[in-house]
Amino acid sequence: MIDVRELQKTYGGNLVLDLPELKIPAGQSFGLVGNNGAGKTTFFSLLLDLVEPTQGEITNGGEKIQKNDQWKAHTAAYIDQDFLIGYLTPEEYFELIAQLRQVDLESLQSWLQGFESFFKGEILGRKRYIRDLSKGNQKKVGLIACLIGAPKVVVLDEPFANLDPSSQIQLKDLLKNLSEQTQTTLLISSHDLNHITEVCERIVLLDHGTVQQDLMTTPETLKTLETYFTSISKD
Amino acid sequence: MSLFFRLMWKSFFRAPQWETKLVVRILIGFFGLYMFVSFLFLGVGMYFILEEQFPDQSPMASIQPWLLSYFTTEFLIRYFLQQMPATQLQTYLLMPIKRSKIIRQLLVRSTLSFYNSTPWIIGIPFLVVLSYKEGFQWGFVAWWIGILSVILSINLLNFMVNRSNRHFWIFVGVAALSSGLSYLQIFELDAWVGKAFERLLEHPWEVGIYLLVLALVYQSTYTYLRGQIYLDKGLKKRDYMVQNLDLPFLNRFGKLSIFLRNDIRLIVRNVRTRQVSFMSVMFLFYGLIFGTQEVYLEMPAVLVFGGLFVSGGFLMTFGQNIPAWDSEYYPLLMSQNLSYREYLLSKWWLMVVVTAASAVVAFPYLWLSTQMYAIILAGAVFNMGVGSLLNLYSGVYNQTRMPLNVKAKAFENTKAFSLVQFVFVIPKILVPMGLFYAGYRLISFEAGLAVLAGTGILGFVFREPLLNALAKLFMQQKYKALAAFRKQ
Repeated sequence: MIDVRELQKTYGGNLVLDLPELKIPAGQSFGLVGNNGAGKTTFFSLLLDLVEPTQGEITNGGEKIQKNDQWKAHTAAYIDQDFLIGYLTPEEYFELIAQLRQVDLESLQSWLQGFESFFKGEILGRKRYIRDLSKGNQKKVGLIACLIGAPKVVVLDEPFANLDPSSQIQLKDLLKNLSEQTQTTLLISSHDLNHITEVCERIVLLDHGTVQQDLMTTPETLKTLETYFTSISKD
Repeated sequence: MSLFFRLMWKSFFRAPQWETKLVVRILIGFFGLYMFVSFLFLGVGMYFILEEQFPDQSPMASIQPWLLSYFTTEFLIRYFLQQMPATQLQTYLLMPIKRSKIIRQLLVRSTLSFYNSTPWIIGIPFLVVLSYKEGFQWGFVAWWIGILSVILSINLLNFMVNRSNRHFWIFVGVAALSSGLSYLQIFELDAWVGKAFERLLEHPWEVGIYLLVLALVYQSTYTYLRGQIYLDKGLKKRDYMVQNLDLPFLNRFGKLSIFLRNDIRLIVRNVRTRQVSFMSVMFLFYGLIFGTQEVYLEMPAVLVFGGLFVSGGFLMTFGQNIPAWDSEYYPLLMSQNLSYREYLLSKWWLMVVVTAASAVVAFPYLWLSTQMYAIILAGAVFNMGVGSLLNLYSGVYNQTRMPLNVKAKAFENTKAFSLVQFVFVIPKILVPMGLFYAGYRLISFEAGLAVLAGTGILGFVFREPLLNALAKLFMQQKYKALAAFRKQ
């Protein structure tokens, strides 16, 4: 589904991301871990064509992402608050995204019903603007909006951050179901090694812009990652 | 102190594109100087203007009935434009400074605002000229102190009024009622206020009442803020009542309705955009400056200058900040499967409709002179056809993140404008003036209008290819805009 070739990004002469080759097959749940500055968000931004690569290219669904916009129809992302429109209510925001993704509003309404327990009654029908919601609730709005219209590729940067413990558990189940039942290609990054090893079938560990480990998740993966991060913190 | 200076120095020279910023700062400096000098001239010249306009009254007597209108206008301008420094309070709460001291400092600091400067730069020159012409009286000083007290009271009251829309609407209601009653000559509040101030000339000691009122307002603002300076009270973000804006009539625009609806919500629900709407209403009156002067009626090209602003206030203030209005969520838009052409077309419609509406609402200019209104209409056609596209074009280069729900500081709107924006004044204003002038000089007044409006119609004719070219340009500027719009 996603195919990265010779991708490099430099900022002011500093190489911040260097991915000679990375293939993510359709339906894979792909996890990205690494310390701050490892290049996770840069990679996602490149993948969404929000940042121009210094070199190399990415294809999504067979199309070069810089060439045309076809891939946007089947790709959705939530990177940070800049993906929310603060002056809309959650309902209005969901409707806007649904309209842009050609989902009719009636099926949107019934689809949203399925997230009631995740929203805990704090999102829908509260007559509040998104900018007045708490950080955690804003995140929920962004995450769920991402799933509108059943996109084939979903990109989430730090989906677990800011969520309360029970919402984190619900989200974990939600994401697991998503990749198991709908064959969605899921790309997530997280600082929480526990969560990400539970959700993803494959983990890529980035450090200073390069791939240090590329693992298919096994019961030992968490241990491997913990050992790695302990060792680099001692250097 | 020197540390603070060093930090400022660094922040300036380490900022991206500081060279252009320096030029822009200098331009803004000149603009500020220009404002200062014009106010000063107004102050000096006021005596003579009043003398000429109201020959049968003394200038001091003729100014009194206008004071209430002045205070009201000032209040409105403050409500929409003045930024209250209250937001910076949070930082100090945990520092070992007494709360009462924090508030006192806040109140004193607010009086140093640009918005309180008129008594100083207009009032004092006026009184100097007055004293020179009519001899000095202590009453003048009392009168000036009286006005200063009122202005400072308004400044303080703004702390309370700013926190709730209800206060504002009560104020608007009272103002409308009193101007209605005054118009019908039932109860003339403006005359009463004028008389109260006139009394100060004869009885300077009555200024004590004004000072007392100021002291009371200060004390009550202080008490109010003292109770508010907690995280769960005044410093809490306000929860706004949600306005329902489903706007079902937009559905007839098809896919375009998605963007139109969002743009209308953008304008209605954000402080910064409401400020722009207020400015565009103010621009409706801009033509009065030119239309009321005999001199300008002989120079219709100058009237075109005023006329372009009457219909184009919204066009210019809103238009030049496209796509910066969407900067807070630009990455969202850029990762959606949307057509740039539709995005731009929606903004285009918005500008065209508001410009047309402004031209219609400006019909009272007919009473001023038919010529003036004809110029406004022709200017509106130019603005709709050509100005709308020009503004979209210049907006591409305006790459500054625009926080939507924060009021701009005085002159901050000018800060957002880059050197490129400045250059764009030529096609937006000077070219239409030239077009009109060419037709007017060579053939007739009507021909001038026809040339102006005709150019506008050309803009409509070539809208499709031009809009497509613009969409391409927006695409090319995408990465730059995204990087510039990111939160710093």
